[in-house]
Amino acid sequence: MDVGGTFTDVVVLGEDGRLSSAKVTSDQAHLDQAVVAGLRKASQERVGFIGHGTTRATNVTLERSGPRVALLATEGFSDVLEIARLSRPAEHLYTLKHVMPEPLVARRDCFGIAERLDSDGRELEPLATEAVEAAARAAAARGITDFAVCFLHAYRNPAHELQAADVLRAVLPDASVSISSEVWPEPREYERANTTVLNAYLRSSVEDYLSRLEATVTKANPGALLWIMQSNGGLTSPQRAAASPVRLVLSGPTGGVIGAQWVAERAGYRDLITADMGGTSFDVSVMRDGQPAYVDQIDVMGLPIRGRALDVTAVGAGGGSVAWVDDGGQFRVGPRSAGALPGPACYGRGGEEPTVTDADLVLGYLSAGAPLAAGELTLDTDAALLACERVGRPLGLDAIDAAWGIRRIVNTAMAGAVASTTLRRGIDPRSFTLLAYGGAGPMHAADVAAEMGLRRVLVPHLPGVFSALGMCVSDVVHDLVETFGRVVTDAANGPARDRSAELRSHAMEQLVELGVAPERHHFEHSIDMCYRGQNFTLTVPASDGDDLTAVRRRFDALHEHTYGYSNPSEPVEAVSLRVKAVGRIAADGQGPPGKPEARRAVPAGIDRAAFGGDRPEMIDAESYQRELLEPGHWFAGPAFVRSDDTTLAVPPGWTARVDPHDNVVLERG
Amino acid sequence: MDPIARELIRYRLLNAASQMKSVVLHTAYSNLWKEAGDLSCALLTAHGEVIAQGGADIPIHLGTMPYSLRGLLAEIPAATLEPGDVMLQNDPYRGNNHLNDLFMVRPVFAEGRVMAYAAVRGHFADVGGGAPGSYTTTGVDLYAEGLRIPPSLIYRRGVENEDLRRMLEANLRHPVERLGDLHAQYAGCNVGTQRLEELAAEHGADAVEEAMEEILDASEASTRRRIEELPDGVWSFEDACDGDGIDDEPIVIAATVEISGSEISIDFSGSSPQCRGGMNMPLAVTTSAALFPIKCLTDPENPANSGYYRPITVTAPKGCVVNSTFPRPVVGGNHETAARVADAVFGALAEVLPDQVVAAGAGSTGIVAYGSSDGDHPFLLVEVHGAGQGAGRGADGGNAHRVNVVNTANTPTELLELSYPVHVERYAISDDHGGPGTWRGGCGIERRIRFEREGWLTITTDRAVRPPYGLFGGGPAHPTEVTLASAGGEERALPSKTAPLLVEPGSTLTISCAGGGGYGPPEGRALDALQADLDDAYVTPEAAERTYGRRVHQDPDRPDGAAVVS
Repeated sequence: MDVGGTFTDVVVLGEDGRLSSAKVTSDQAHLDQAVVAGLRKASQERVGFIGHGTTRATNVTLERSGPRVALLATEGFSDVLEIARLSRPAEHLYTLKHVMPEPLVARRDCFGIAERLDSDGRELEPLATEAVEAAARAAAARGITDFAVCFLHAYRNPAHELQAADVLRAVLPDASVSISSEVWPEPREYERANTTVLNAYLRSSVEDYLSRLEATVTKANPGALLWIMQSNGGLTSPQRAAASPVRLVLSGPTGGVIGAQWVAERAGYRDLITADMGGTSFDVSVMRDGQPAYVDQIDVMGLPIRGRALDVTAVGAGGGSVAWVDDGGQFRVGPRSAGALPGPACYGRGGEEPTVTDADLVLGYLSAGAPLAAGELTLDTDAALLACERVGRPLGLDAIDAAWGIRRIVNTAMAGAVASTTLRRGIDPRSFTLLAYGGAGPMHAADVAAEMGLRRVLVPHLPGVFSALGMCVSDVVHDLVETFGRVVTDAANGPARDRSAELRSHAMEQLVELGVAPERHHFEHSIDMCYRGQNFTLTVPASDGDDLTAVRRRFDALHEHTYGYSNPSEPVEAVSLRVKAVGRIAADGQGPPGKPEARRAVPAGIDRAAFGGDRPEMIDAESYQRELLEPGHWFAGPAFVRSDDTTLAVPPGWTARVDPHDNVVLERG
Repeated sequence: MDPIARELIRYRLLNAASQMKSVVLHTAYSNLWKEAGDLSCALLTAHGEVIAQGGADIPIHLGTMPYSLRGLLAEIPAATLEPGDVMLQNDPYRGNNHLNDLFMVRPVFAEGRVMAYAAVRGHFADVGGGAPGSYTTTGVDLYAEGLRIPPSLIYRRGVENEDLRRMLEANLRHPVERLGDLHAQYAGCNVGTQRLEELAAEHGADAVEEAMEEILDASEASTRRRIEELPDGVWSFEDACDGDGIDDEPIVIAATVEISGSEISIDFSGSSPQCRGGMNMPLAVTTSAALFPIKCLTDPENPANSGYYRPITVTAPKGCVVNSTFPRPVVGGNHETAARVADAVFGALAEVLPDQVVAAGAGSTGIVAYGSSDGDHPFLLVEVHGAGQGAGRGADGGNAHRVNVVNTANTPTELLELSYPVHVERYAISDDHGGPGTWRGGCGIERRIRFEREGWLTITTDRAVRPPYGLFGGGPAHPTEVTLASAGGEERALPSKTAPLLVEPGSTLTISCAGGGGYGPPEGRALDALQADLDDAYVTPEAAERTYGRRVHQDPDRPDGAAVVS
């Protein structure tokens, strides 16, 4: 289940491997009701396992609708949130006013507490418990019950933070306390403090939402287990999710990536670029050798959040992106979006500016008669034409040419996002397959792929509700980290092994607590290393029991591969130890499918639509109904595949076939 | 050409520049690059105009790009370049910022000719010279400021110039880290080159060149249109730096801005003569600094390129502090005097654009360099401290963020303590440091650092004598203050610029940088805004009474703070 701002998508995966789906409107006041209604609509069968992705944490962050939070920080450093990293964001290089995002905690609610550890975690000054008590009382008088604690070097030694939490709870038994050494124990105090504060900020609303949801869902589906999707692409229990809500900020977009991994594995593709194009944003991720890429920091509205997350790059390009002419006479598309209101001109909700959706309609990609958004909208072609004509006039372009320009420019923007994502990882994407989903993804996928030099596009079954699929095929994943901070030597081997083992047994306890049987546990160890003096680390896989020197050799090789050089004679520091604990709970899915017989599909009709290179040409394209296509069917572009909520465009030069898993595979040339 | 094709090319040029930046950041060695991001990337046309730059770059790095390239091509003619060549220089009297900034450029070949250039300018944490960090304004001439690299080929047809590399290795402190950064710079140039070659292969070199020209023309047209909306006239303003560390005489920057039709000319006649210490600016750096306010005031939202700057001319008499001559030293001119140049231009335009302009911000980078080349563990820390914006109509100045022509980030306290022999005692926003006003200036920051090992300390900051100005009745910010306490606790005030000082273990430096100036008379500040300032302690009760002329009484039961203003 993918509960978004506008719609709730539900996908049901039967024990026989069959998929069914439903889309219902999200009622913001009663999201739990939408979930139950969606489930009922999608399937009549008894449900045993519910994977749930939520935008709750994201929305509270974006809307700043959380409660007032107090921060306790080391005395002399309590301005950590406002000082941040001092530099202004890229888009505000030449801005003079209102440059920085407002910190989540006002300065008056940041309390400096006397205490100090050094960078080895040794105590230099004991915790002033009376200062913690005073802060608790002052905050309570302001109606604050949510606290974040972030002390310098607590990633090395949590003692003072734990002690402060105890004092807070002793003074205020109802206090909710997030401490940085639990939320994300790694150095860089601003990023860690901000992550901890956000955790505190989200806690009450996420907890409230999840407990209500769990009650409603289990009442309607007795015996069903509810699992929550995290930013790292793994599930966890509602209780753990509520305790670490900061781990849910990317809960929504990760579903699609995990779904892509599942689909690709079955269909036999190892190297993928996933592309989710919706109304306002285009989300890209890369998967190499079947494994998605991860990052250790994401930024939401200029606020950094530390922690393992799937590496999903979002750019402001979607169906709602607005086309305009700047005052130098240049034709531009986005980054502004018309959103859902007023929306594209063709929605007839008062929007007059041309958007990508209008262009797609004018060019015949969207079909005018087709209902959109679960039947709530009928598209107005005349309004779209008028809008495109208006933007094209000063450039000497007619409506069709202007629409074609909008399409090409937005495709280039999306291809640029793909290029940056792959380049960052040193990947040449040309041998990769583009897996496209989201409402608008399949309509642009082939053109974006062509722009990047990709030759294959995979469009899964149910692309419009694909993120929800990912949520029912995920495993439990907990990422644990511990700062180690020692130079690699023989003497460090023993401590590294001991600390890794400790971390692992801690991870195992967590899985057991969630009811995952030991034979379904799986642990991946890794170590973050860097050359001494460098601060950016590389995560190096380590088998259990590997000694540090062996891992270090792998680090040299990885550094050489990633950055083109290595320094085997330089000392290397093992900065952090990591364990990824996986509890395999996902449905195994069906066995290998049969090999369907290849046969030409029969079109349901002919549409007129624009294709071409520099200039558009209106030509006839075959139109297919998605529900009539079966494994083995093939056809050639120009063609469209239309279903309730998405259109797949197959340009000339591309052929399409339905594979044994019911994915549509496009291939060029 | 076809407006759509042009937009596609524009988009990919911007994308290429930002890819260069991300590659450099991820391959660099130094904290100054990885954590603080003190570098900039750009793509330039064959004629040497900037067509695209990287995100979150350093403005003062960017305006000089065309001049630095010109300096290279004057001695390595474009006709002699071959694919795989990479040029390098750092000479401020050949269009560069200061010796610390190494400028590396790779020509991009398409269809047998140079179609464009991919450039990376990065601030090297050390370029040799008088003390670790190469950052004292007390060097007596350019020779004292470090190693000067004339226009050179660091790669010839893809092969590294080993002699030059060894020369660098021998002259820069912490050579492993320096060469790591140099390598990162090279990787950045290569990725930019590759992207442009792909673009040319797809569209043809002619089309790419034509698109670049048209993009520059469109930017120029857009700037001209915005300048035309401003009234014609001549406006002047004067501001000053504290002195150069050798002489205490204030360094006066006098700007005269003339708006005429669609053009702006900025002249600095009346500024101080060039000085003995390193506060001088070659004209290229002055131009870069003077363009910054124009961009902020006329078009803050679009990515900058040289087209925006075509309608603007910058002049200064030869031999004055903002058009200095070889071999006058320049190290601090790049951001201390440069900030004053920008402040003076903002000040001159205040009357014309009262709604857009802001009062002076921190106006200094607040450099602390501390290091030692001795022993088995040499170290070098270079940190920035200047932060806090001036207020404008409808907006208090932002607290604690970098402003003006610089944008280098800090290094987190935890990383400082992990990487260097220092203990940080305090890193906080300074109360009452924002200039009072209807809209309050942003507060600056204060850091107190204890040094654990013997080493050389150099301070390069400003605004200790003449604080950042307020506008339209707003007050100036609190000035910069620097103190050094010996291990025994004996304190002494330091000037804003120092020669290298030998510090003993246990000595403590406190650097408190100026904030931003206020806007509008302090009496006009809304009561609730001032109350919030008290609650957040940006303003103390004493200052509320003294500078804002309000009465403050105590209410111990008030949850948000006992001090109540009325």
